[in-house]
Amino acid sequence: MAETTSNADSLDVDLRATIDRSLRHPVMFFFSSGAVWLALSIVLGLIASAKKHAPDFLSCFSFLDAGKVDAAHMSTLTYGWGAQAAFGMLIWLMARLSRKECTASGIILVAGHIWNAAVAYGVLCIMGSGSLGPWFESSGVAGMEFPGGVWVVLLVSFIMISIWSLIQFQVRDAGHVYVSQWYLLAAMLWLPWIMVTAWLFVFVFDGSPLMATGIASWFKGTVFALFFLPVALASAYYLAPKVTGRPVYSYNIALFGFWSLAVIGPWVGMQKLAGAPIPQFLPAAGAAAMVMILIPALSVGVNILRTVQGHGKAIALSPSMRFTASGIVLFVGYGVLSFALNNNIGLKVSQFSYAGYGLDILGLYGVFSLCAFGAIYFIVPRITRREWLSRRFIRWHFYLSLYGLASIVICAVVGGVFQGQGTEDLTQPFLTGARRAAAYGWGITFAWGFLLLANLFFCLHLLLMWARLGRRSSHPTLLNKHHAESPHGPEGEVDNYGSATI
Amino acid sequence: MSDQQSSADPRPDLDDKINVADAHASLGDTPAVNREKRVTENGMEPVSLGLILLSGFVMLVGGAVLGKGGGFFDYDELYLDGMVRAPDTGGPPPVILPAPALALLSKEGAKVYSKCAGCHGAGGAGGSGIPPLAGSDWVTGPTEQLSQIIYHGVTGPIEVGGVAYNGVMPAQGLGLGKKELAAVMTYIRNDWGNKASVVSLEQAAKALEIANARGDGAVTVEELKKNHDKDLEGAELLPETLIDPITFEPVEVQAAK
Repeated sequence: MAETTSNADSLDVDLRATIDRSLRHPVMFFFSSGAVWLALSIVLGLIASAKKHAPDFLSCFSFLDAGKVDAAHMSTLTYGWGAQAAFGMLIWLMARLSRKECTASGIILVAGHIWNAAVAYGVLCIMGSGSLGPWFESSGVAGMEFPGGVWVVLLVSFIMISIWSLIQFQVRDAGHVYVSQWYLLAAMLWLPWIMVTAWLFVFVFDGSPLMATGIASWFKGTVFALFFLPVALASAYYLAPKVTGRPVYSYNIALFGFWSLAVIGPWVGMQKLAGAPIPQFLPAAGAAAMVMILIPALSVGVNILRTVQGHGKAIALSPSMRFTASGIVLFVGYGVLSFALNNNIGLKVSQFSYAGYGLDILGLYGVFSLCAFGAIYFIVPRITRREWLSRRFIRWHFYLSLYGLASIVICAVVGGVFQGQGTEDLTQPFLTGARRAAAYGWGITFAWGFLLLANLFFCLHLLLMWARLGRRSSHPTLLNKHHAESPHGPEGEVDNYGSATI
Repeated sequence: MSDQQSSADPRPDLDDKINVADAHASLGDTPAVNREKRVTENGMEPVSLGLILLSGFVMLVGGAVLGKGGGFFDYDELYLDGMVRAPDTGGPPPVILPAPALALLSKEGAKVYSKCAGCHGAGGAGGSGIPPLAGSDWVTGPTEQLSQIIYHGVTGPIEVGGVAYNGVMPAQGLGLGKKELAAVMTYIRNDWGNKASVVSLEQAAKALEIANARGDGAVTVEELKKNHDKDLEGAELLPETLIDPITFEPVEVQAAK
């Protein structure tokens, strides 16, 4: 620990503090409004899941129809929580890595509000379809349920949010580009590309509606593989060396992991239409890409886990490291599951069953959100200049998240396989497959309850930090009882200027 | 925390004894930033052989999946092999026996009724402010009235079983076909102690025709009495007539061989 206590260039500390200060409003806005969307999304997920095994649950409310609440659940999870958490991570990480303070936080904040309003309007359209009038109609395209116009607003506000990070990267002083910056740059450029492409083919060009469905499911797949995944990995590549104080294990594996994702990522998505009468190489290519996503997963997994290897203490003590490391382990799990569910044998049972949903949730909640939580636990004390209030809240958030997630994924995959076999059996009515899955459906509903509890803790904690009610202390909030040592630096000395840059 | 630290320990902490503002004076206002570590250059470990082999295996499986897709950029080959179920050609077609109209329609009607049970109750007993269906003259009375109430919903004062109600029943016509209408009407007219005629498919079709001609909006009691106080036209269906379980049409009974 000796090298970390050596006094650093105080200019460095000043620069870091200035960067954090310049971004505090937009980043805090993205994280806290994202957390509220996440809580809402989990409530909707609970209802959507309950409706799968108890169709009469809340059936007197037409805005909670199974189709609507399912779409609203996934849309709020993706665009309310996921996207906003990613924006906060993206702009903060890029500013820190480019060592440039943000000069446009006002514009980013306005764009953030526009994004929120657009998502809220889109969700209103989904839930109010058919009852709120002609201005509130969902597009009805699975995976892109917001009306066509909303996507334009989302794209414009995304560009207003991210363009400043691109500029910061362009005017940075140092020549070296760090691994996280590759991923951030890629995410920033890929998202507009896939949004424009999908929007044009689904809402503008007058193509076959079946292909539009295919494009929408490609969009849904690539938003994860080409936006959420890169942002999560950028954060992991930043936090692992930052907290352990050790360089990334291998530059070569990082390169391999990045380029394999860049090559494989754009193909995912269409495997959801296997069996639909579209050109058959499209779903086959999607399934092959989903199988091969195991390659970047293994590379990143090896690289990050080798970096933190031997720093078990850091993972045990630091909330950011614990969430991030779990997110990366789950990324490897995601790769393995994706490999198992999308090969020639697995695709048949997974395509119309719970199993595909389990994989989606493992990706969005397991990989992306856990990495995002890790980043939030790291970033928020820096921008609010207050420490997290309660290690119990963090611990509960972690364990309930992990248990809830594991239950959802296990129930969905095991139940999905039984359900898939049931639906594939031609001599049996459709009901047989549904009955086989019903018990697992109960399990999933129950598990969403765990996640709801986890995120109520998280949301409350974050909102308290947002209200600047965090602890004023130089002691980080760690997950042990007595913190004699800390992966974030030495304890007990109030004037411990750290040694780090970036 | 403070009780675990001996008084000899010189480290300042957030004890009651310590002035927090003084303790942080040297820190500026940025403790978290101060304790950060430097992110250094990357390690240069080679890509391990295991990772290369594993990736090779994954690509092999990926290739097999891709191989099933047929020609790349071939826009004429539709349907992914093995993903579409082949028609079942083994064995004779399943025999579904006709059944008596009342039993069959009631069974189907009970499924449709699950939507109504939310308000009217599983036993048709109604609820607070919601009229019962069991023993209601509106249910067992003229079929055209009943069909329009179901299809359009009803608003304004209505008297059921000697009790006055004044509420709004939402329209249930959306997605209601003649089979569902015939089934649910037959079910509520013949369950929970109700006893009335079976509604045939032809009569249900006539009801939908009338409902479509009338246009949207909930009906009122006055309108029902004025325009719809009659039974639906169409062939009657006796409770014991055998009907086809799929089409609900009466079947010719073949003489036993």
